[in-house]
Formats: sequence, structure tokens, C-alpha cells
Amino acid sequence: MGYIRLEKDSDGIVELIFDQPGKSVNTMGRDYDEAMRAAVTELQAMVEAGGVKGVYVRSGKPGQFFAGGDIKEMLEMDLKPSEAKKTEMYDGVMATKAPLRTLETLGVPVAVGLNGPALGGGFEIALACHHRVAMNGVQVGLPEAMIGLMPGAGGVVRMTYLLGMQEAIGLISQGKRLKAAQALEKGLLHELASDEADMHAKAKAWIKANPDAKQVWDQDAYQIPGGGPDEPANQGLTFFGPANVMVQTKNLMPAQNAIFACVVDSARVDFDTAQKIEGRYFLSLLLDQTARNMMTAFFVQMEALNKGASRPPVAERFTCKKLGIIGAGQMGAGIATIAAQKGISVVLKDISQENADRGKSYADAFFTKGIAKGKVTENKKAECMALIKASADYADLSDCDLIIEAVFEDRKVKAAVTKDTEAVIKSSSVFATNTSALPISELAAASTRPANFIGMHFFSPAEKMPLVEIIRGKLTSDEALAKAFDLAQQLGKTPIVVNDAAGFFTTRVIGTTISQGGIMLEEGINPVLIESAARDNGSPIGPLGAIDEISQETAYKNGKQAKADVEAQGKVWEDNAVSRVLDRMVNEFGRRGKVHGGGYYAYPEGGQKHLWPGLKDAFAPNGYKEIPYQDIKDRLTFCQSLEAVRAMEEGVIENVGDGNIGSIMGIGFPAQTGGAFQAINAYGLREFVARAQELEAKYGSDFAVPKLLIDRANDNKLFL
Amino acid sequence: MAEAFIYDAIRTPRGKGKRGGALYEVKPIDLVTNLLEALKSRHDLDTSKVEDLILACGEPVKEQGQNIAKAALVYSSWDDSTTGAQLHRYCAGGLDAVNIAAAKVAAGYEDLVAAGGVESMSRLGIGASGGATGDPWVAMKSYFISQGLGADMIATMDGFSREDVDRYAVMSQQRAAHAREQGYFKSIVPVKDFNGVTILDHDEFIRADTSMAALAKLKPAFQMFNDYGHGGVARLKYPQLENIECVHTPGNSSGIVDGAGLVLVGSERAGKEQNLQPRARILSCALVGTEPTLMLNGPAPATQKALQKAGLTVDDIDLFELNEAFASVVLRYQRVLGIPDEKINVNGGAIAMGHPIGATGAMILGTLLDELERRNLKRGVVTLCAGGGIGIATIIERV
Repeated sequence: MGYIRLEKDSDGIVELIFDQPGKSVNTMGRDYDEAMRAAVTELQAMVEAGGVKGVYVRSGKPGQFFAGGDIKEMLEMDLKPSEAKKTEMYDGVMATKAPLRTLETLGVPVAVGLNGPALGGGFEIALACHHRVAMNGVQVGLPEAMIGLMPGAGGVVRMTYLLGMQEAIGLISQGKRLKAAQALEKGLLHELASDEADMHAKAKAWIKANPDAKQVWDQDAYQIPGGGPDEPANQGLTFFGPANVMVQTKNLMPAQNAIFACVVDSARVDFDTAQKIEGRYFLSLLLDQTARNMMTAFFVQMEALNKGASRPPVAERFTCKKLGIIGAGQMGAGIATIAAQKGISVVLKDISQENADRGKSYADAFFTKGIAKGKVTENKKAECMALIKASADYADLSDCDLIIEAVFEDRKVKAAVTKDTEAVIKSSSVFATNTSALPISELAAASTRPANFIGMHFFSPAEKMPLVEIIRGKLTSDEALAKAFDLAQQLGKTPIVVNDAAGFFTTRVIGTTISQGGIMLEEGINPVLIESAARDNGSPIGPLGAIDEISQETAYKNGKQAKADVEAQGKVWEDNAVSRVLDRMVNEFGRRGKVHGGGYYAYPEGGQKHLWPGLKDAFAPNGYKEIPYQDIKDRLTFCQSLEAVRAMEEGVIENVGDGNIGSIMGIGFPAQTGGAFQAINAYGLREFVARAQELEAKYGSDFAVPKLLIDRANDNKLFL
Repeated sequence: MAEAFIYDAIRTPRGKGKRGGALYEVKPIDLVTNLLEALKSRHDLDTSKVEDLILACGEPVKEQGQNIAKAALVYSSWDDSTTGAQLHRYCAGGLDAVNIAAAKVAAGYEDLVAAGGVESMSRLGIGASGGATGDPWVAMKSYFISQGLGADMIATMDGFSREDVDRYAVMSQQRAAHAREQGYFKSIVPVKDFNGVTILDHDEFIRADTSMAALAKLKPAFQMFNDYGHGGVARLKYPQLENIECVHTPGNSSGIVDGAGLVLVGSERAGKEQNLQPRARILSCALVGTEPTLMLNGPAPATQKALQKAGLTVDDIDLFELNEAFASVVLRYQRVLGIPDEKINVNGGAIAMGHPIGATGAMILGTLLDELERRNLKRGVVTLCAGGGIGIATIIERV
């Protein structure tokens, strides 16, 4: 059976039905190209022969319209092809567009029915139809930008010609997915339907009623909504827009640049010329490393992660009905909030009812804010709040399916809580400890059921941060791991799975860049350059700003605890730059962190934060030390990728995708690199090793290259 | 190589570049023909011997569009044999026109050339002709930002405070007012209508009463550009900049005015043929390209390049005339080259008198020559910063 079927009904309407063989969803790849070309050629002949009243485009797959471009096909393309090959690729892009143009200019009305998500390529097909009917609730949009791409089958041009420049840029460069009702409001859809039958009926009724339908841009009086780039009303957009794109993306996202430019360029010329321009920008992204990085991490690896690549093969899927949370501080309260939002009953326990109630009020504030923003209804809030029981009594935890302990990072307190909890809960209940660094297997010593004991590292604020790092202790069972994994997904989080070791994966990786910040500050490098380098790398916050948020005081205390731990084990503590710098900041300068009034930064009331001017006298009294800016930038990222490889070498992390997604979503590793491992692939394995060795020679053993990386570079074995 | 002599340098007065300015009613082409007729009558010039007219213009569109030089020649009483061309080198155009004329003469290709520029900013404001950098893709690839923000970046990086730039502005105003009062601007030719009635005979933009207190009240002109994304783009290119202190205001930046300037350049032989007295010779010219986002740091390297070509040093120069695009541009130039206040822009500059984009270079060359003659000094440098990081300089020596 072919990809596309043409079926003519008794009214003379030809149905064009997508049904890609062997796939659950239709995708836009080579098979599509061939089938669509043939189908449209046949349609042309049918129209010429007469008797065709119109065309109705739909999917033959239940609940699925069309998924978009074939990403795996794109990832296989050579990044640096010859000029001849590039010309061939461009011709290919234009060939994909051509049948859609033919379709919308057949001379008969064309309607489309969206019975499921129409995203990316699927929505580009829909945009080439005169009338778009969608079932209530389906998602539509052009989300390509989220994976470093842009629409290449006419989507940019058609959306620009339909909605105007401003709206098109916003929707496409943010990769907005719209619910059908929103899309209807914007004019991207024309009608909504309650079910498939209703959808077919509405589409066909429209065809019969509109024999002379044409796309708006093919009508004589057409003018682009909002006018072209030289229109005075658009001067703000064209003058400040590019700067805003650059500032938002730190000029690191070629897709956003290309989309902005393509929209404006398209608005300057006629429709068919605009299609050529779109093809050129699209091709530039097909050949772009950043797009490859993002496709790899956010499409391929993310999809594998969501499908459970790191979940043990435990057949039964766990659904948590009642969740116990111990510790009603910001972390515990945040987890309780998100759990309630997902419809899970929560017991939020703290040492006193007052503390527990305060935790519950955190959820109240969250939902109240949601109401103010129009995202939550009063009813929904009441429902969620009713699901949270604040308690000071361990007995209330007895029937919980899973416990998350979120008390402070203190081994003794955690041990006591473990004992007291296990005394009341079912023996089958999983006990998860929320910690960012304490080894799970050591904490599990306090448990009588270590097979059910696991680490779940949530990130703060838990109601917002999308990642959960699940840490498997030495004795943790597959069943317990599967349950923690399923719960994380139930909470709407992306779980990554790592093995137990100090700092797990994310904490140890981010620790290296925080350390580099301290080391460079102590070396006398201009702190403005350190922070700018992090920004220019694409990090959401610099290493100095990050410490300010945690507070120098907390970091200083953690350092002292680490020292005490080491010395308690009879080992010698090695002094380091970070602890020296923190010591001076806290004890000498009294700059104890943002919450204490200022740290590396000053926070003037009503003004913008800026680096504390005293840093120069403190760390570079004789003038700043000059090193190449690229070295500062590379020191901040190379240390993280090298640490990620060390973690892999030590068996802490097994799945590259977990490492990439974990590093981006958990600790702000620059997204455009595709993650801590993909960054190495993108740089080139051998080139990365050579650069790391250069950094090691100049800046010390933090940049020593692990054997695993050297071996991989020798074998040219990418981290995939 | 032959020598290129300056036989005359004249200019219109500068009118406020907006509705209500004295020259707003005057078409740009009439600013040019006023000077063409004056040049002809001052020297009883046989215009058939003037081979070319090169005119710079910053917004060569509409009534300043296409080739305003040849259009003005045809429209004037000059001989048909003089040809003309329009030139664009942003703010450096007026001086570049003179330099190109000098180069043609020095090369022996031509003997007598008129050069200068024209700009009616009241009728065709900044941006009237659009521009390639206004394209989003080009702007992103070029790290394009507002030029004024570049001046604020210089101030921030060099540590010039709001007081520093305002103090310079007050000095420019006082010097210009004094020079106008004393009649130092000999090169001014009044703008007259077709009846011969004078429309404007003096620079009307100067504000003699400017004070530090009055300037301090003005709001930074480029803060908005900084806040709307250009500051962020600047910091991507200058990571050492944590913030940009926006210190430039309309009070310490060049003014928006209308005007034209014209210089007659020729060989020794051409001068003798028409019994013209050379006022100065052009010793050297230089152009440089500097970092384009900051854009305004060209004058110092351009001056150094011109000095080197002429075999001179800063100490050999008696007076410097640097276009006051923004106060920080002058302060930085002085710092880099070690030039005291007494030697630079001694009769004020564009902060006081205004900067009619394409015309300025030719106009300030005349201002410098007037002052060298008045003080009986020998050598001077004319220099300007311009879009895209261009710097231009010309060294003249009185004959």
C-alpha cells in the first residue's frame, strides 16, 4: 500500500489520505516527497479531466494527522557537503515545496481535516490548503525552532502572508504550539469539529459552498497584514527586532536569526520568490551544527528518555495515588504543589503542624498566582488544595504509595527520618530521599529495606524545574527505580537515571564550572569577563552569580562540612581556590550572598545588579590578569564536559542522552550545544581532546583528559 | 607626482535642521548652486576648466537623490563641460570628496576639480534613504547598533563622565560663539534666494548661553537604544562592558543642521592659468577602517596614517579640526594622540554648529584653513569618524 491514497466520493470530492505504511504517524521524508509528487500530478490530471469538485486532505491514521519532518533522515545528512551536493539539497527542498503550491493552485477548493496534532511539516501541509478544519483540542503549530530548525516546506512564507510579519516571527521563532481554539482565534484554522465525522462533514460542506476558493495571497487585492518591512508601523520591529533576537539567544541560535530574516525577506517579494528564499534559509539550518545538536538532544534523545530508555524493564507501570512528602520547606512544598496539580493525594509532613501548614500555604500562593495569570481556575485550585494534607504525624504516611524525604542535607537528620518513616509505611513502599549530593548508598545504611531506598534529586523551585535526577543506590531494586521513574513522569518531569557516587551527575558537573569561576577570580581575571563568558557560552547564569543565589555563606558552610567529612575519614583536606575565595568573601568582606544583601554582585534597590566593585581590590589589586577571552569561555564549559566523561568512565552515568538532557535541563548547560556530551561531538572529538590538553597545560589538571575520551577520540566514536 | 592645491574653501552657514530652521525652505540643490555661483564670481572662474564636481551626501534620495552634483551644475550658470558625481562615505563624505579631487590632481589625471558636500537634514532626515544595514539579516551578522550608543561605549570604556562630556560641549559652544562674534568664519557665503535676498548669513545653531547646569538637565539620547537591545548586542562584542553609561545627550552630540561646503582643488598649472592664488597644499590623506560596532574610533588611526604618509608627527601640526560627532570622540582622540585643548577645534565644532552629514568634511576644512591664516600658522589636520568604523584624515599646509 502507498503513502497516499486518492479516493473520489460520489459528490466529486477527491480525498487525499496520508497513511504512511509501517508508521504510527505520518512524517515528511523521502517517501512523502515521492508520494506527494505523484498524488498531486494525478490530481492535476483529474481536475483537467473534469468532474472534480474539490480536494479534501486528511490522515488515514486514527487520532494522528501528520508529525512533521523526518528528523532521523536530517541527522544523517552530511554537514559539509560539496557545492554540487548542496545544490542538489536545495533542489530537494524546493521539490518538497512544489506539490503544495500545485495543490493550492489546482483551481478547485482544497480543505484539510486535522484529526490529531499537526505540527511542523504537518501544519505546513495544512497551510497549503484553503480551508482548515480541526478537531477540538488538537495541537497545531510550527515548533521547528525548538530543535534548531525552521519550517522549510512553505510554512514561514504562508504564515507570514497569512498573519503578517510580527505575529509570524513570534509564533515561528518561539516554536509555539497552539490549541485548536487558539489557532482558530488567530486565523490559522477556520472551523473546529467535535469528532472525525463532524470534521469530514464540515470540510466537504465548505468545499461544496466555495467552488472559487483561492489562497488570500493569490487574490488580486492581497496585501500583507500589517504591511511590509518599509511600512512606518514596522520600523520598530525591523530596527530593534534583530537586536532583541541576538540578546535573547546570545546570538547562539542560528534558527532564530534565520526565521526573523526569512519572515522579513519574504514580506519584501512575491509569494513564489519568497519560497525560494525560505528554501535557502532552511538549507542553511540543515547544514548547521547547532541544529544537529538540538535535534540530537531535544528530539532523538528526549524522545528515547520519555519512552523509558533509562527505565528498567519492569512491566508494571506505577501510578502513585498517595504521595508522602517529609519536610515542608520550599523543596517539599514545591513537590507537593506539583503533585496536587497532577491529581495526586499528598501528605505533607513536617516536625510541627505550623511548619507543615506553612508548606501548604506555598501551594496556595502558587495556585493563587496561577489564577491571577488566568492559568488556573478557582475550582481547580480548590481541588488541588483539597488533595494536600498538612501533618506533623508520621502515622499519616502509613498508606502512602511512595515517600519523598526532603529535609535538609544532614546525614543524621535524614537517617532519623528514614527510621521513623519506615516504621509506619508499608514494606513495599518506596522511600526516596531528595538530595543534591549525599551518596544514596550511605544514606541507605539507615534503612531496613535498602532495595526500596532511592535518591530523587529535584531541582529548586521544584514546581518549575523540569528535571528529576534519579539516583540508584547499590542495593536499590529495579522495581523501586521503575516506580521513581514513573512518579517523575506522573509529575510531568523528565527523569534521568544515574548511579550512586558523591555529587551524582549534575551536581558534580556544575561544581566544576562554579570552581572555575572561583579559580579565575582568584587568578585575578576580570570578573566581568568571567560572567560575560558564561553568558556568551549560553549559560543562563554565570558561576559568580550562581554562588550569589545559593549564598556565599551556604557554600562556605558546605565547604567546611566537606572538609570535616574528609578529615573524619582520616584523609588530608586539600585547600582550594573556591574555599579560599569563599572564606574571604564571608569572613573578610562580609559579602555573604544575595539574601544577605550582596555577594559577588551588589543589588541596589530599584536598580540593576552589578558586580561588587570591591572585587578588584580584593582579587586583582595590581590589575587584572589578561588571558584570551576564548580561554575564559572554554574553561567554563570544557571542565563540565570533561567531568561528564569522568562520570561516565566511573559508571555514574550510562546513557549519553541522560547526560545531555540532565546537563541542560538541570544545571543550565548551554542548550545550543546539545548537552555536556554532545558539545564534545560538535567540537570534534580529536579537536576537543587537543583543546583540553592545551587548557591543561595552561590552567592545570582540571582539564586532564579522561582515558575514555582519548580512546573515543582515537576510535572516532561519538557520544551518542 | 604633482601637488594638489586648495584654491578656495567656502561654505553656507548652518541652519537648524528642522522645520523653523532658516534653511528649511531652501532646496538642497539651491544650497549647492549658491556656492557654485559664489565660487565662480569670487574668482571670475572660467568654469569650463573645472573638470569635475564631486559632492557627498548622506541621504542621496528624492530631492538629494541620484546625482545632485551634475543636476546642480546643469541648473547653475556653470559651463556644460564640468561633470559631476555623487559620493557616499557616511559622515566622511565631504572630506573624502576633497581627497579624491586631490588624488586625481596629484595623479595628473585632472587639473581642476570642485569637491564638497550637501545635506538638508530638515528636508531629508537621518534614515531618509534607508540603508543596507537596516536589513535584519545584515544587522545581525554585522552586530549593528545605534551610532550614538557607540559614543556612550567610548565614554564608558575610557571613563569619561557626564561632566566630562558636558564640559567639552560648553567649551565648544563658547568657542563657536566667540568665533562667530569675532567674524572668524571667513569661508561663509550667505544663502540667498533667486532674487538675491539673503536667507541666512550666519550659523544659527550655536547657543552661546549654554551652561553645565542647562546641559545636566538633558536626558541621555541613546538610553532607549541601549535598553531596547542594542546595549546587549554591544556587550556580546565587548564582554568587558558590564553596562554602558549613557552620557550623550543632544547637548553634547553633534547638532542636526542644513548646509553645504565646496572646495576648489587644482594643480599649480591650473591655478596659474586662471590667476588663482593657492591658499594651501594637501600633504596627505588617509582612510582607515576600525571596529564597526563601536564605529567611532577611526580619527586617531586615520590621523596617524596621514601623518606617517606625510613624514610628520603630531608635534608638526599646529591645529586639529576633528568633527564633533559626539564629545567622547574628541576626548578620546585627544587622549590617544596627546593633543591639548588649545590645539583642537579652537573655534568650536559640530556640537555647537551642527553636522550636516555629507557636507561637514568640506566645511570644517574651510574652518581650519581660515584659522591657520588668521593665526598665521602652517599645518593642520582635518579628521572625522564615520559609519561602519571609517576614519578619515587630511593634512593641509599653508602656501
